[in-house]
Amino acid sequence: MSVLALSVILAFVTPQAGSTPAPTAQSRQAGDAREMTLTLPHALRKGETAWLLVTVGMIGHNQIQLTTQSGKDLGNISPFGIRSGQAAGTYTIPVPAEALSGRRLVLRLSVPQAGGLHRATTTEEVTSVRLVIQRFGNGN
Amino acid sequence: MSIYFETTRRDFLKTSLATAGTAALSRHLALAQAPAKYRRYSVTSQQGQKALVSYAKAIQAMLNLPADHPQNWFRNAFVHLMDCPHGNWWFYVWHRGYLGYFEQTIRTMSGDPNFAMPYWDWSDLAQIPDSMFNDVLTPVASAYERYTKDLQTFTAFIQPSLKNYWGKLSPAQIQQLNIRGYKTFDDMWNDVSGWTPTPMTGHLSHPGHFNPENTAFAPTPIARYLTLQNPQLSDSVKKNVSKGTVYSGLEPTNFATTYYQHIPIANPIKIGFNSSTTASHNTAPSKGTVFSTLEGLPHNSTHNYIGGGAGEGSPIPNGPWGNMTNNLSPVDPIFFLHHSNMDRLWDVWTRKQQALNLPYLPNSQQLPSYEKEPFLFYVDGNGKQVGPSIAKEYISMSRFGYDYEPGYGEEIIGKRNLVLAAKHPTASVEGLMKGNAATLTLSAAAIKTHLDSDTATSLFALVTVPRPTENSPNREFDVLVGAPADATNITADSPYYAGKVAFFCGMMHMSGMTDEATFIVPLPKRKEAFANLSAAAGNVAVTIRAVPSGGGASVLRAVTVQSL
Repeated sequence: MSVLALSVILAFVTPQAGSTPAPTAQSRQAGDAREMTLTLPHALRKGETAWLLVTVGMIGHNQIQLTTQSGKDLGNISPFGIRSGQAAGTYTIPVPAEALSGRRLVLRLSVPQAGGLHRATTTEEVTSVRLVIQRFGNGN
Repeated sequence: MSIYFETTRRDFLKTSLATAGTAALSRHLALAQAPAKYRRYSVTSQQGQKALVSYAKAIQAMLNLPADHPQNWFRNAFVHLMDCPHGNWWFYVWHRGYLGYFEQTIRTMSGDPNFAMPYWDWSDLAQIPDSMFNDVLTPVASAYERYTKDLQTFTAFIQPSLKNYWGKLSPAQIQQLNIRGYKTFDDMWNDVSGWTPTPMTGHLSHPGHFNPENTAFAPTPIARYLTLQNPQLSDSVKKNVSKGTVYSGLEPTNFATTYYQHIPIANPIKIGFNSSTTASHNTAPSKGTVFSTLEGLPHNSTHNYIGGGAGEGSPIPNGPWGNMTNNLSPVDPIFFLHHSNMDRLWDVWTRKQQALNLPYLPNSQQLPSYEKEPFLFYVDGNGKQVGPSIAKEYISMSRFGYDYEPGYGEEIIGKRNLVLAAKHPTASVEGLMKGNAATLTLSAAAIKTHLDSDTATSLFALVTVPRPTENSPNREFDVLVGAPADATNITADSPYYAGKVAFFCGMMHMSGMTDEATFIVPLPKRKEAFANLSAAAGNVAVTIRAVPSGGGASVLRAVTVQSL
């Protein structure tokens, strides 16, 4: 009835109100993206997978592109069904094991622009990023 | 870092056989079920292409129906606009009902009693199928122009009948619309026209403004942005629909996602197959919503890219957008092939859970709330309002008597994990040891299969290394494949790096414990690790070493490579 073991908070871009602040990820603008380093508490073990939880603010029809520092594409957040003026929610992005360097993930967040250009996300657009470990067990 | 775990060869074999037997039994039981009356085929198959002929015939008939007919093409899309759930745990079950009744309507309208909605498996075909640009199968076809040439034309055609329909809604339906934020007809219509009854900043004298973000209506010329000449999804959307991402989305074993976002605990989330739980299927997604991987990535981005959502390769970064970007998306016929695939993936996930003897519904505390959720807006194949129905009625595909031709994702069924659920493990290849390094002769075909798959890892090494001792206290070892003998400082991003194996119990020795242990490590999915592969006719010599993570010579005791 319960998941065997779960996950660990790794980093916030900004700590959530009412919670104990977690270690703040080092986030900086790096060219056309916002870059941060997230660290797992331990290397992935058998049956474990790494996931990003990306909480997105009001971005309308914009998208958030997620890549590693080396340019490996991790996914693309494209809100659908969100009414104007509403935050876009949290997205669960699987992180392939090969995207990690040891326990670390260097994540780049950008907003695709016309003409194939990108710009760095703002802290209003991506309000929180967590890297967690999941171990899928017996369900529910 | 690769997945790895400690085991012994004896334990591995015992567990493998037991699990494979259970999985085989589950598959056998599944096969024993009665065949469905209807089968939904891949749109790329001959049967799928044949179904599109009936589909087009029915669409034309629905376009020709008057606006006050519940099966009018656009009226059918308004069922979605008025009641569809997104970003919550009723996403799949509501769309199963919507698609099931729609399929009945297509049978009626086409005169094809065997019609079943084809699915578009974007993991195998990352472009709109060519046939979906034919005639009325695209919403930019001239047949749509008389209704959707512009907003004024569309309003004149559909609004009177919709107002009449609204006036006859039951109190229970009105309650659902209120939850959705539609207190009045105008509230709903504003989401069609984009009219926002609040002034823009600096224009207080104006009563409101048009907001393209809230405009569900799309005029015919821009109803779909992808064309027969440019049908491809973008690279970023291709990543979202890739086999790797879809496979990950099928892996969770919980039904719904639970996120303790504001509670300072170390375990903030249980990722589920479905998005997060809400009190109503009409709760609009917002700050507290957690999208499941399959809804949040392949579902959302495919919708938006077809409709011209902003981003890479998009012609319209700031709108106006096409049909697929919003809740009138069923105006584009590709909607139903897209959702047929989402529904298929729910079926795959359900059968995966069953094969593993795991729950495929919410837990007993949550199930009553899930099952009794009212779905009140469906229209059946005879054009009649279905009336009050609840989510429970649409959990099983037997409600509509269909099943699916297998598509991508079936691979996960019966796999508890990549190793233990091997259906047909092939003969293993043992390494020839020389100076704590092993040389193995592997089939070039097996290596190519391993490298070509962007999801499954098919080659694993069973690596035996010594336990730490007082004289040799190393507890972590990096497994290297094909690395030059003189290579140093091999890091996890090296193409030769297979993974790290580690002892967690230090030098403690329990009764019966041997002085070595065997770990299972996936081989790298980088061609550099397999030198001369391209020139190899049949077999390739591969070297494997296990070096202490802090540096030093290989300590490998033995290695066997297993192909799954």
